[in-house]
Amino acid sequence: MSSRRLARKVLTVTVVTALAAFGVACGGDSSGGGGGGGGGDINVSMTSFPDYVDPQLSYTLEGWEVLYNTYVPLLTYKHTKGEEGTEVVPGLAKDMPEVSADGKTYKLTLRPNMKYSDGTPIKASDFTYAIQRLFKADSGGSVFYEPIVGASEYADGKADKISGITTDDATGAITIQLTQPNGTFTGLLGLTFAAPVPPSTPLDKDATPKPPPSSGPFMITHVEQPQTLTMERNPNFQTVKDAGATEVADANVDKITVTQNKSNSAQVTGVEQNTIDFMVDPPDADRLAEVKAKFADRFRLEDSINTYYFWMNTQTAPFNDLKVRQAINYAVDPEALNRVFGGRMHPSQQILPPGMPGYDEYKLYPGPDMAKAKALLAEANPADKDITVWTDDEPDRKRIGEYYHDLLTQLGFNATLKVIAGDVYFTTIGNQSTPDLDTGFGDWFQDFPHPDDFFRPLINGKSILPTNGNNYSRVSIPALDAKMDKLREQQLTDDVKKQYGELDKAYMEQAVWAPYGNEEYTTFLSERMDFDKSYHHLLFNQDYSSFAVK
Amino acid sequence: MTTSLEVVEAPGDPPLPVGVPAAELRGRSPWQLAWMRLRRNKMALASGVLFVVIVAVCLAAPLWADYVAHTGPNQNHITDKVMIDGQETYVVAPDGAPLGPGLHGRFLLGADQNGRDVMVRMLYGGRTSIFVGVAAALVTTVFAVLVGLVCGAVTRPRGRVGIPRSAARDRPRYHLGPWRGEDRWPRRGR
Repeated sequence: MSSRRLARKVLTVTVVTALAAFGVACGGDSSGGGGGGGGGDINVSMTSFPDYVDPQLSYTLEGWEVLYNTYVPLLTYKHTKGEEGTEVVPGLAKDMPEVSADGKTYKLTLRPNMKYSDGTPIKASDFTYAIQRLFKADSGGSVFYEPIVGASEYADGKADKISGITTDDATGAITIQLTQPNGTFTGLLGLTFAAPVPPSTPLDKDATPKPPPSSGPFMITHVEQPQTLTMERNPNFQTVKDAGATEVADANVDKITVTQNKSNSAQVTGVEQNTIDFMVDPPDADRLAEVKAKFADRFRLEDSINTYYFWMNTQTAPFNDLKVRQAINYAVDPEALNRVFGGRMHPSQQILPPGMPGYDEYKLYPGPDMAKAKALLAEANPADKDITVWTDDEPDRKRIGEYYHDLLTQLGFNATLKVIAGDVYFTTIGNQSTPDLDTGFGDWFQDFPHPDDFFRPLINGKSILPTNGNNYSRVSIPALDAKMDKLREQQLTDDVKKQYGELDKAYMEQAVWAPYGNEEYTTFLSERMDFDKSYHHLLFNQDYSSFAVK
Repeated sequence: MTTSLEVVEAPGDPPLPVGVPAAELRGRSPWQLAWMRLRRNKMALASGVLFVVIVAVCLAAPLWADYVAHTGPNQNHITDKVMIDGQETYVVAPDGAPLGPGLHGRFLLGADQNGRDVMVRMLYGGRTSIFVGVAAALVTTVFAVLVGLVCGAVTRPRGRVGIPRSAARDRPRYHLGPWRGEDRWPRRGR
């Protein structure tokens, strides 16, 4: 063979190889896997479907996880893990708000030329509409936005608009006036509650069956409540990016199918065998050791800021008696409940969790001390001992309910355990017309990094709402409410943090809850997922924009 | 054509006497026949005995709970310890793993994640199953008797419920044995 022919042959092989390599690189995975940072369809399982697929109404961890990357507020939280993720950054607004010297006026400007997923232009007045929806649709999040001037009058039907919000659709200018300075308001503007939605969204009704068009990287294309929902790339998200919203992360995968699966064990097996790409809930205690041992390369424990507690209806017998509530606090054993969680719980008996400003460890009810609990109950001698204990059907929560039911029985109550579906649990116990709401399971994950979030929606008298309420203990202590309001007016200095710690203790002296711990969360992914890219966000749990196929 | 005597014998039945006058033949009740046949089926007998034992043990659940396991079906023992082979052992370990089954009176079948005795819960669960089964049978019997009584009261005394007399006449009759004045077992295909 001549050297010329040889050279030609070598050149041909080189070109063919290069073209083949280029083709593979461009073609990607025919199964829809996509390359790193682009493409792929994945499926996610959760034990309980989101309470609502509606940015103004959803108030569960499952709901927020889905909505965080679907509806973008004027401000948003940084898409990153750890403490940095609690930083508020501009979302649909051009910049952070300009706050007046008296702390009562917030000025923002909407970025221009942005469109929702259906092509409708995003307007400044859509923000007003979203806040109006909070009040008209009885959202559990409405309590946060009451400080806006005119909000209470609008909620009561005395006004047909919220006078404290003025917008200009032409310039994108938005001005919000507050009745009092508010140290939490910037954080509140970053919640999906305040995400603009177009006026085609029903004002006073749940939009779950047909969710509003989105402004984030994903749009919700299909909802079959409470079984499944589909998230697909928003074709108009580029308009948001082009407008300069650099802090709003783009999606890596094309499509996410979220499915409710009531069997935690089946979900664990699904992820192990790669038929499920991500399970929202941590593996059950009886599978946790196996997952930790065999799948350490795609499983990790995650920090989470939350408090688990038992609520007690302070307005009706027997829990309207302080001694009865104190007895429960003495009787509950946080270490026992830690074992129910497979050792993922940090035992605690206070409202604020570690990691939340103002947290200062204390223990008012050392125990478990059944003798002390029984003595207090003997002193109280409640006439009504027939109580209903509420919990939901998620495995660990059901077991928590069973533990609590047994404890109350040992204390001499005639307790009936009521276990209901997880997707309707909080709306059921948050509805005041539900009968027999005596006591039960409760938990709270931080909405924004401010201690007010663990007090106002949960134990402030104003948060006792007819529906979608979160004050399950129906706590109303005017003196402490006033202190809470006063603290909110101030910036979160060290002194204010200390006062929040004292507020925590003051509520627990009234034993408004029986808290028992703070849960560690988990990330468990299938083999085809990029484990290093996916992360757990401190506010919104798993950040779906971080999901990527290898 | 086969004779009826050969046909009605159940497998394993003693051969029916041939050539004995009909008047001397001794009839057997359906219960006697059933028992006779059951006695010959060893597997059925063994299953029956096992069933009776299970029912008896389930009904005795409170005795097991009080005197052997020393716990009720809903009592949690999450942080308790028990002596296993002379060693104190957690019913539920700090990592949430419950005690497994073993030859120990308490927690014979192990514990669940709330530290409840699985054996005790199974026995109480068995009681519930038996109760549900018996209750369902009773309810069915009561309603069947009521329906039968009502039907009997509203139809003609010699007629058959829901079937015209002419049609009833054309139907073959199946009997468990000689009755209503007949001295022989019915023939097939009469």
